[in-house]
Amino acid sequence: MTPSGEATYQWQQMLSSAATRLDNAGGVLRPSKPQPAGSRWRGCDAKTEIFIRAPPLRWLAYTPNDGNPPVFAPDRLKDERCVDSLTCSAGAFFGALAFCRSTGVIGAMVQQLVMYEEELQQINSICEVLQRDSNARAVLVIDKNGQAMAQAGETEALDVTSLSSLTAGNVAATGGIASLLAEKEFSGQFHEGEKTNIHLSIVGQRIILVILFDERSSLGLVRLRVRKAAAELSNVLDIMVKKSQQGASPSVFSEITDDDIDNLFND
Amino acid sequence: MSFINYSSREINCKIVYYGPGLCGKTTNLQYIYNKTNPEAKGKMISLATETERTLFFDFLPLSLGEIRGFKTRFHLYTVPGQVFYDASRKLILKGVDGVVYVGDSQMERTEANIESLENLRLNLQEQGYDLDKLPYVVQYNKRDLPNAVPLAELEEALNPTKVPSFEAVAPKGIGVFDTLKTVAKLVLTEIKKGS
Repeated sequence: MTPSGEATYQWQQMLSSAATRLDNAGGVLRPSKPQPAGSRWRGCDAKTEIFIRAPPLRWLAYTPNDGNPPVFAPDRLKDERCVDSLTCSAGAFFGALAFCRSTGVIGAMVQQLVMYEEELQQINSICEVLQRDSNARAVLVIDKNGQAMAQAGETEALDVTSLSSLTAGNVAATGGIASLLAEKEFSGQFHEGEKTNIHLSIVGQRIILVILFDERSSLGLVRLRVRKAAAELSNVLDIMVKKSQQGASPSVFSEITDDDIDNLFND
Repeated sequence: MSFINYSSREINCKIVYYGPGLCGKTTNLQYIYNKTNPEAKGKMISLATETERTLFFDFLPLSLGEIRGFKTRFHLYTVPGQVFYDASRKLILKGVDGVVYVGDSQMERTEANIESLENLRLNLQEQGYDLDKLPYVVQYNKRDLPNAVPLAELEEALNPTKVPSFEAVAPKGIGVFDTLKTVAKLVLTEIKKGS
């Protein structure tokens, strides 16, 4: 069964939300692996394990291969409050995960993001207004994977590609630190330089808004203007993601043939 | 995750070079950078320690040409290979479209090769990827060394799924571009299939 784009999007959102709840409740998702001989769960081919974040890591639950509901091992937990919270969130997560697997949504989850003219213009407009209102030197919108999406202001002298990649790496690294500290993310960062300062903020858990500013502006003003711009960007991003999944326009790849790809690499 | 910009007519993809420490991932990128026309490449970024061991990642943006009016741009990344940089490796793998596994042909590095390959599979799984479903090629580097393991043994140990594999001597460029072209082609083909 091939899920519709809309169904895919909705289940992805549910899965993402359930994963966040589970994460906040202290659960850590780990990939499955066969259990060692002699263990309590021997013979079970677990799909996903959940461990309590704090050491020592312990088994909490697994999903059996036969589609039955997840099995929990609450007796291994000392904190009963933790059990309830983890049980509820784990149940929601496994429910969403099971549905996604059964409907093929999981296979469709890693999708390309497509930028259309309309959304690009909206994003560019938001960037221009933000750059003007915050007296910033430059504003960039970067995908979390390091792709530059839009820019405004004094960017001619900037190596935007390198800046995008390094910024994404920076955000990824601080995101890793946030996970270790049981934080969802560090949504804002500020680095002060002698002449140029940089403010980073994560929007919609998907894109990074970068403001470069100097003595013509201030951190307070940038933060104030970013708040409004982030909300607007988030709306545009939602539309973009939905369009990407629903395939609003014929894909460029529908015209591309295998010979086209081969010819690209012929010397 | 590939990114298509209809407005600027660009297809952007991410390829990650993976492998144990000192296997030649950075050397691959350095060779590609040195041999690519200036118009087709951006600046190579290397976040490394003082002893030139990759600390976070190497990054090289490449343009590989146009296809049906769309510029194809590939972002090449390498991961730090040393075992204790696993947290960083996970981050670099996010949004990957294609993987190059670089194996060290030296006999003494057999265990490290296997461990790194398992680590790759595990880290991809954690991100929701399946290595067997990703565009993926294997490169056996350092084929010129006297203690290089025979190719058949390497294939058996490191390439059980028989993906395209290449022998390489990265400092001399042998096998480097063949590896890159094949994985790039696989990435574009996969995106085409997905659409």
